[in-house]
Formats: sequence, C-alpha cells, structure tokens
Amino acid sequence: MANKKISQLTAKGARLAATDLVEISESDGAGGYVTKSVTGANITGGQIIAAVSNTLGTTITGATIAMSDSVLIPAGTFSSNCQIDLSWIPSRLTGASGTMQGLIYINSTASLTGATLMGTSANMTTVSVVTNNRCTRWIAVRSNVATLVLTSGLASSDFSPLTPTENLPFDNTSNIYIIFAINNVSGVTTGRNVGYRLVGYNL
Amino acid sequence: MSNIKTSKGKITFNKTDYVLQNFTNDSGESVSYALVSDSQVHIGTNKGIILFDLSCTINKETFTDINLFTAALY
Repeated sequence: MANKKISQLTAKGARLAATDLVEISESDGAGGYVTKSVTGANITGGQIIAAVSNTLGTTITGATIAMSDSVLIPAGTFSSNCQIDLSWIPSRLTGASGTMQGLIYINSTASLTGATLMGTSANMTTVSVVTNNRCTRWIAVRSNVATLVLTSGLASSDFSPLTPTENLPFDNTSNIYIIFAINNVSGVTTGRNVGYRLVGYNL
Repeated sequence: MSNIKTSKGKITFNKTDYVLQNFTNDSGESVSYALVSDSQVHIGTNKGIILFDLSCTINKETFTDINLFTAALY
C-alpha cells in the first residue's frame, strides 16, 4: 500500500462487513494522533441494512394469496439476538369494489407453500384511486425466536398496544426469504407490493 | 410436489415437525385453521401460522378440495 493513492487500491465492491478493518488516526486529546484500526461493526454500531427496494412487484389478481415480491436474507446476515425494523408497501390498484391485504411470510425458499405468516396489513378497500399502505413491524429476535405483533391480526403498524406473537422461528443460521404477498380477499381486486426496507441491529 | 406427513396432532413438512395448535384469527376467535382461498389454508402450529395449498400431498395423497385437504391434516 506504500506510495499508493486510495483511488489506486482495489475496490471492495461490496458493503462494509462487520469484520472489515478500517485504518483511523485516533486523537490522543493533546493534538497528536495514534494510528489504529476499527471494525465495520465499530463504524455502523451494529446496524445492518439488509435490503432496500423500490421494485414494483408482480401484480396479483384473483381470489388467492400470491407472491408479488421477495428478498433473500442470506444466512449469517443477522445474529441470533437482533432487532429488525421491516417496512413494506402493498398497493391496491384501481378496480372493482372489494378488500385487499398485503401480507408478509418467511420461508427457506422463495415459495409461499409451507411459508410462515409474519404479518398482515389493514384491509385496503378504496376503489376510486390507487392506494399505498406503508406497513411496519418491529421484530425482536431472541435466541432465533422472533416476537412481533400478532401475525394473524390485521395491522398496518405496531404503533399501538397489540397482542404479540412470541414463538416465530427466525433462525439466522439459514437463508431466510421474506415474501411479500397480496391477498385479494374478495377476489375482485388487484394489487402488488411496491417496495420494502429491512434494517436491523445485531445485539 | 411436497408431501405433508401427519401423526397424532403433528405434521412434518420439509423435514420440520409442527405441532398443530390453535391461533387467534383477525376476529379474535381461537381457531385451528383458516381457509384463505379455494386452494389455500392457514394452519396454526407451535411454529406460527403456516400456509399450505393443494400443490401439497398429505401422506402422498393428492387433493383437489381445500376442505377435504384441511380435514386430512387433523
């Protein structure tokens, strides 16, 4: 690295990992500096931005629960004790009168068959215009078991007192797919997921 | 096609065992399952609510009716 500019170094080409090292000059408080290293985890404070997307998911029609979008959380992304803040945005498209919901599931594959329900939005019923509904869940993972708002309850957010689900397996030693699904409850609506954000902290 | 194996209040799917148990539906009622479409059902287990559909077999038997499919799980 001697006599090389930073711009001449090989680019990492990926996000800072928790175990990466960065060289710093630590102030000694008296005008001097001591060269030391800090880890990626030191810099981010443990924050992990696992997934962000504005992708317009597949439009779902018909009386079914079907996958509009999904994202893979690779094994080891989070630790067995972590906090995760998940936002997703189901969108009800214009069309006939009826109820639509945006659901999230987790599974070891990108498939709804055998997937575990993780959350359900409030009912979306507006007919005359497109409506988007930002939904949020605060997920507390303790020893690979997640606690969050009652997964079968209809709720766009968890910003009010709600019964929790406390037994949801969330094993970060394996790949986890978050699946964004649309439920056309009355069978005459259409909808899709139009974005998500998954941010967490390893504890 | 994935198979669900049943055994005395328990099912096995993808090498994972699930104990069947009730869950609270969105109306506040305690239920063991909830039909969500003509081909899909939410099943309450000790590991959360699992979505199954008619693409699965139960003990290697194929179903075309979600009510019969659900009954065969219990």
